[in-house]
Amino acid sequence: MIMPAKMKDWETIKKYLLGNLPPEEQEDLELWLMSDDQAYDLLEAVEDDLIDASLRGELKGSDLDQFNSHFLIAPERKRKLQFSRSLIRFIDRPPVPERTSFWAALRALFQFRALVYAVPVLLFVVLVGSFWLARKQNQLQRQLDSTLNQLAETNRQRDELQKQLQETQATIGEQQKQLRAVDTATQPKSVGASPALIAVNLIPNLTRTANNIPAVGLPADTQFVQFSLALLDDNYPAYRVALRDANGRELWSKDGLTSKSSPDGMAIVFLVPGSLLAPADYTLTLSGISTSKTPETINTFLFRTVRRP
Amino acid sequence: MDTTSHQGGDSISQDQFNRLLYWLDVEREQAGIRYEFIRKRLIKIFVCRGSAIAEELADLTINRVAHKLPEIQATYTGDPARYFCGVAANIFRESLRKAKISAATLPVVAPSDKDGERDYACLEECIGKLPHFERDLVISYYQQEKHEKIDNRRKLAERLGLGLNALRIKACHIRARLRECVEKCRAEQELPK
Repeated sequence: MIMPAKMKDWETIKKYLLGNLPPEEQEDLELWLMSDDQAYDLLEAVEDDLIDASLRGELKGSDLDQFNSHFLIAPERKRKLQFSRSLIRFIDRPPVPERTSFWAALRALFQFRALVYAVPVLLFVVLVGSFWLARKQNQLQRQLDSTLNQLAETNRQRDELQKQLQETQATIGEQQKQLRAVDTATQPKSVGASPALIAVNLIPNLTRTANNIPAVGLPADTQFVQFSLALLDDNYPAYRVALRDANGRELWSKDGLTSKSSPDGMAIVFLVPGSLLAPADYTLTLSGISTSKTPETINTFLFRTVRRP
Repeated sequence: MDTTSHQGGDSISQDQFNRLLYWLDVEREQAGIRYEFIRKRLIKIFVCRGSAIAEELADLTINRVAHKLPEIQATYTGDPARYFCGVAANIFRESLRKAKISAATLPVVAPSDKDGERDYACLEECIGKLPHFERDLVISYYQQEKHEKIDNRRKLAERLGLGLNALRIKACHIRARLRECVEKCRAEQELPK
């Protein structure tokens, strides 16, 4: 009874080809050959290896005897042997450097299936990466420009503040000078018979009519008259005062004055040389100086000087 | 398909041949494929048993089965190919008795240098016609000896994502095509000019 045939190993097939297999195993192998689709091809492959082994001198002893006396009986195998001589000569030849074109090399490279997919993916990644980098660089450049602009603006503001500081310091210096002058002027008043300084307080809106014109009595040797102009609203960082005669001619002026606290509220205090004030009617025009530096008239104070013995 | 016997003496009629094909497969085309499958393997069996007349014995086997078919067809179960195996064993034994060929073998004669050079030139030409991938495969597959060869083939199979047997069969097919190409080239060169 013929039993089901199983796949044969390389060594069993070799024994069969050399005629070295016992009759039972031989029939079993032939049954496998008749029933398995791959069996014929594997038998052919072992035949090729056996022929190559004989040509390379790898077959020894009884295997070599069987090869010559049994295996090579068939004319087909003699033809195979003849072909294999050429094939082994070709395979064992010294390697000749092959000149391949760029496209041939590229085609050969793409015979590896993984590369067919990997290369386009790699190119895509490089393209997306380049695009992203370009965008990022643009963004960073814009941030840098913006930071530089902010820095320039900060520098400009710093310069402006420095300038304002210098102006303030100059104003303070001027005021200190005035204060020193006032101090100097008040010294003789306290000790001398004739007053060197007369203080005059003027209030807005009380000088509208001729009857209400305040009179300031001045001794002949009055050196300075200290005017105090009351402020209704202290809205300006600096003030300007101008002294005019009855014809409106400006006799004297002073810029950069600042308000001061007085018993009657905020006021502008300043000194006018007594020599300018002969007995007559005068006006003091008070103007506010805003940041735009354009003086704006706030009030006009009318007064009259009379000579006092 | 040749439906007459060869030197074996047995011959079969067209009806016997048709009956044989029908036994192999009810579809005529499939039956033809099956017939070629069996004949090819029968030839290989006789070659492997050491016969110098393998094709003749294979045809003799087929004819013997065709003659026996009316007797066995009704009772035989299983793959017909197995029945051919049993008949082939008998035919081979008969051939040994008739020809007494067991010890009579012709010595293998190495080809002359001139024939060797001609074959080599044909082979170079045929290898040059192979696709790059097949050329690399056949050179890689056959290039080592003994144990190195086994390791080399295992690595090659892994690299190509094939089983070892699948690689063996692939290399064997390429080699068979090369052999046919070289034999054709040789025949063309032997033609009188």
